[in-house]
Amino acid sequence: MSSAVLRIALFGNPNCGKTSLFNALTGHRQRVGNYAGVTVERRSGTVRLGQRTVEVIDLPGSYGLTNQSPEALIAQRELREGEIDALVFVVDATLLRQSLVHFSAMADLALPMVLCLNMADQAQASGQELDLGQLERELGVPVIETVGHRRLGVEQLKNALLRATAPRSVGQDIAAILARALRTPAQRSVFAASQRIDRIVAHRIYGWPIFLLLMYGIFWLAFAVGEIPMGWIEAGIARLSATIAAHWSVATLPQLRSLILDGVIAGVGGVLVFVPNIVLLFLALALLEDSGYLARASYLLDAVMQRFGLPGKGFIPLVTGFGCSVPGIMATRLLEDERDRKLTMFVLPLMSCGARLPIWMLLVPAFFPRQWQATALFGIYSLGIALALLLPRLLRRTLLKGPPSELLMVLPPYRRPTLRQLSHKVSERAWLYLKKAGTVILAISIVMWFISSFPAQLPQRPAQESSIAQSGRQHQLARDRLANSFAGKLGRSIEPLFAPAGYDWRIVTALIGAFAAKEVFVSQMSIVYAIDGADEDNRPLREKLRARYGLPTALSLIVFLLIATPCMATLAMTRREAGSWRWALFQFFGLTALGYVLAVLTFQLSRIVLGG
Amino acid sequence: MGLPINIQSKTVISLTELKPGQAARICHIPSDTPVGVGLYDRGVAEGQRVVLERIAPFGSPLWFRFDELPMLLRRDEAAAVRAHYDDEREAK
Repeated sequence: MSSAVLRIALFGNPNCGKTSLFNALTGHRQRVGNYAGVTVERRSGTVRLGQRTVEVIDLPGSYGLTNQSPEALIAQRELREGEIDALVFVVDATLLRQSLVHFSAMADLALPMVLCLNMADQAQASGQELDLGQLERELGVPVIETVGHRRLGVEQLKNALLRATAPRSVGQDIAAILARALRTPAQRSVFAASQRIDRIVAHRIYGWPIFLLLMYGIFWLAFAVGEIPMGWIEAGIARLSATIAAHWSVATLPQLRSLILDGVIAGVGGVLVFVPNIVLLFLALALLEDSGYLARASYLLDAVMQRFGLPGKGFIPLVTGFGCSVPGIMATRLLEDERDRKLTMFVLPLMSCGARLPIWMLLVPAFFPRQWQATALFGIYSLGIALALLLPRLLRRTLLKGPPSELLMVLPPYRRPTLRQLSHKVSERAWLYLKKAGTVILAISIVMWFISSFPAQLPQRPAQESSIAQSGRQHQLARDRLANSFAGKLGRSIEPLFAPAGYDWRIVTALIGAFAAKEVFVSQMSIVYAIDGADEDNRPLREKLRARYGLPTALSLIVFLLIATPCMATLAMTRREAGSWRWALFQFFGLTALGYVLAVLTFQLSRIVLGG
Repeated sequence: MGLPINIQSKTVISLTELKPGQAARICHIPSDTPVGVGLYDRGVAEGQRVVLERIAPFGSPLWFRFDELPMLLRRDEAAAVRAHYDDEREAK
């Protein structure tokens, strides 16, 4: 059959090292996408086999083919209908008995097969000795040993694929077959060292502090350390923009100049600025995942999170959401269950992200007396957390019905993460973000630029030339331009819709701008009020706001900005991770509707209470 | 020792009745439930030795070792799995 192989599939349990084997086999010749409509990723690549190039598909890891998880259903469909020519059944060599229970189901597929005993180094270190020839004879398929993350046994695997055969039907005898092939059983448990570590890590008292410390470390790495390269990116974008502005006179093609400067470059900047966060966060998460610690976090968190209809690991993406929703949504990949992932993704924007802090910094001091400011800020964050924890149960009872996913979590032994694996994971995430989400973000930012710049006779001097030019006229020009733009007109025309929440067209226009990125709300507000310097000390803007709006409007606005209209980067990321626009749009409109209703309620109730 | 005939004479308990550090032998996994199927799929079967290693602070999940394999089960998941003590004295 050697010349007939065109597509081969890798299948195995979660944690058997299948993906690192896939990486070792295909190198960098791989593609990652999503199966339509689900959060499950589809990985494929190519490998040279003899004279021909063969496609390799890394099927989603699953405990067998017969369970009802999306992973198993997808694997089943690919194996039955995907015109797979040969199957590599990857098993953890240290857990042969547990893994080979699926052998007879694999044999029933009647596909040419290679049995791949991965992590063979650890099995050998435990003292286990196998008679591979004996195993081959009894199972009727080539049996090879590999160490995926060290790229050992790849050549043997390729050779074995050339002689892959359909397995013998072994029925329930697999345990007996294995017993006959086992020359020496493992002398030392591969879990022995892990047990010692777990005595500390899963300790009743030390367990929690260790976990919280690790969480803090991740957060610090992703967002505090991430701030540094983020600054470089922002400075680089600003310099590029300034250079172009200096060499490109306003007189020539002003529209195109504005598109390049305020649309494209600003948009690219808006995409790139997330990269340091994503890289560092995924480095930290890959460390947690590959080391085996993550499963231990479930032990600590599951009971708490379960009360809210989320799995224990859901805690990690949610906490990440305090920094930024985009990496938070990407981190839902840590969860095993499809519905859990979708639920966590859905509520993630409710965690008040870093981009909303400037908004709170504008509104809270403007409307709350000094002694209440800390309480107000605390209340904002708490409201977000409370909703994020309450919504999943509600959604489970309505939209995402079905029994909760089982835990049944196998705790892998602690392993030292390899540099190769870490760098692969991190670069893959960064690349996926740039390619799949970045393009959408860029496209939307150009649309956002368009609706807030047109139709407007561009002023003789460009409105956003820089903050150096601080003449009042400049700001008025910018204000008039925004007011006359599509965004301004849209703001005016939907003003009546937001009157019950207490907003005028100025706020509505700024809210439209905030879709590009939450913090844009502040700069849009300062434009509609023709005030400079939204960034540092926004005292004049605060005073104007205080003069115009009452506390009920402020409260309602806070509620709306916290809950409604996740930003476009969030929208793009949800689409990419959920595998469909449907879930992303449901998230967007669902949260916006919720935010709107709560904002109106807040405004009306607080007006009654405060007698406004 | 794991012969079915012996099971009759031993105290059958649910996995949730084990105390941390106690060992037992699995005698019944409900094969028609998602938990039962999940356990079989992870290589857990009747006749295997099970040890309850520890219980999480809020009473769930429970940390078991099935032969070698450590696994977390929620309290309600573990409740449906039956076992009998390896050593009848442990029942006391």
